[in-house]
Amino acid sequence: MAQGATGGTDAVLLARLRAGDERALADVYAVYGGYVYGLVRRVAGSSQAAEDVTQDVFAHLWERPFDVDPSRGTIRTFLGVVAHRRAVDWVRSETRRQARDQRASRLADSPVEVAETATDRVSAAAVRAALEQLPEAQRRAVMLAYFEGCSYREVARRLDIPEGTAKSRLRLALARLAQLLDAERLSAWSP
Amino acid sequence: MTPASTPDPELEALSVLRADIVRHGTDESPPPGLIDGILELALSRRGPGRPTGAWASESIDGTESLRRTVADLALVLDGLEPPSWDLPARTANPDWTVADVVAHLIAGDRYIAGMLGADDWVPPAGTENDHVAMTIPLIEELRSVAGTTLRRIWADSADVTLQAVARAAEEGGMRQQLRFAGLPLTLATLLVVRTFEVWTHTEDIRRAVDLPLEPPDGSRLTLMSQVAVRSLPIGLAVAGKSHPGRTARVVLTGPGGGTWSQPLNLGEPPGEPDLLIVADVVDFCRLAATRLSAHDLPCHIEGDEALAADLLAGAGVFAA
Repeated sequence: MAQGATGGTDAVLLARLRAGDERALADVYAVYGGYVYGLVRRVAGSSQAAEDVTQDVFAHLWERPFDVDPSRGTIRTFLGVVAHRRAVDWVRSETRRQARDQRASRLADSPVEVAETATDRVSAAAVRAALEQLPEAQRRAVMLAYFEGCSYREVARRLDIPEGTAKSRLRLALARLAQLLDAERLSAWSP
Repeated sequence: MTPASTPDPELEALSVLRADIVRHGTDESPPPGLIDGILELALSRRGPGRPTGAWASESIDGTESLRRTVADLALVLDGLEPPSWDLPARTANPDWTVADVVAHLIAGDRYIAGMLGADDWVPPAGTENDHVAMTIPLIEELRSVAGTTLRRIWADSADVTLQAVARAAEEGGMRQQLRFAGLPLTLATLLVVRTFEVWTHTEDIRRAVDLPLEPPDGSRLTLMSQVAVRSLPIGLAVAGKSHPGRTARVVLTGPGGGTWSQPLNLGEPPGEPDLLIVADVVDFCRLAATRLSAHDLPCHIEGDEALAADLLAGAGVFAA
């Protein structure tokens, strides 16, 4: 079929969203709601922020489903990128609000921005370094899932392994990365 | 994958990976009921049922839809060499040639123009309820006419019909009730049904002379897909397979597609869907025109597969 509506689960969900099927949004939420909510809650450190941002992220997907480019990644990846960005925006906005409340100097925001940008760079470098220490099989799976936007199914196909193996390999890789990056460094990543 | 404004895909990927690492092992369930707020917010930004973005289309009425479709056929006929008019054309009648298809369309035009008082042509006695049989005598009469002459006769009849429907729309509105081949329908629906027929026969001719198929634009497909989906209970009833109390969720993809919760028995309101069908809108229109079989329709189905089989088998309501 043209338009790819008979492809994998992601392709069908995306086609339904684009064609105006609001039930598809509920289906996407059923699959990725916990992922988005958990990601935002961890970054923002606030359940209320997690609810607000999660609503906004899924509403954005509904409003602009053509922003998801299947050639560049999965719906999950798209949601993760948008959720992370908006969670960071929320934290920055909240920080500014608190700063205003405390009558901080108008210049206070600028060093914070610079510091956050620097932290992001450190974080990226730390993740890259940790990736290099993963066993090759795990590293390859992570690269496919996060940097080439492959779904579990596509990772399995590209590595010629069962889908269940791909999932467990990615779980193990994330656990290993978490070990490699100590708690102090992890906490420093949160804006 | 990133939204359009993303500056660095690698940094974005690292951010997502970082977030996944941080939250690894922490399974956070959203509070119950959050989906209700999401749907309320989402639907306030974009209504349900219609496509968006690259699949959205400008709105046109049935008169414009038919005018565009007639123009498409005119271009195809202009390019025909004399021998092409005698090539076999695959339709519901396997013996028809390209010329016969055009003669069939001429008869259809004269019938519609007659309904609207712009032609004195009436269907032969006994064929009033069969829109193919009513055209047979004129098809046979026109077999002695050369293709170039047939082209001119068709252009005249199509022009008279377009003028008649435009006048009727202006005078009586698109909701006025008519009877077409024994079926009650509005002028708006008649124009879409006629769009379906002219497009389908244009594709018949394209196939016969080895021209590539060209789907209608999204604006026309919006009207066509609406009528094709809303006609499903009619097709099921004709096939003797009505399904009282059952509802299908039909999602048609591509420009001119959309989403419907369609009851599968005439006169019933939609209920909770028993099945989901996702298919390309052009494919679905070809299925409705019986130019694509249910077996050959690429589609995604969830739910009651036996019901889906009945639905697709009965979807061909625009046979010609």
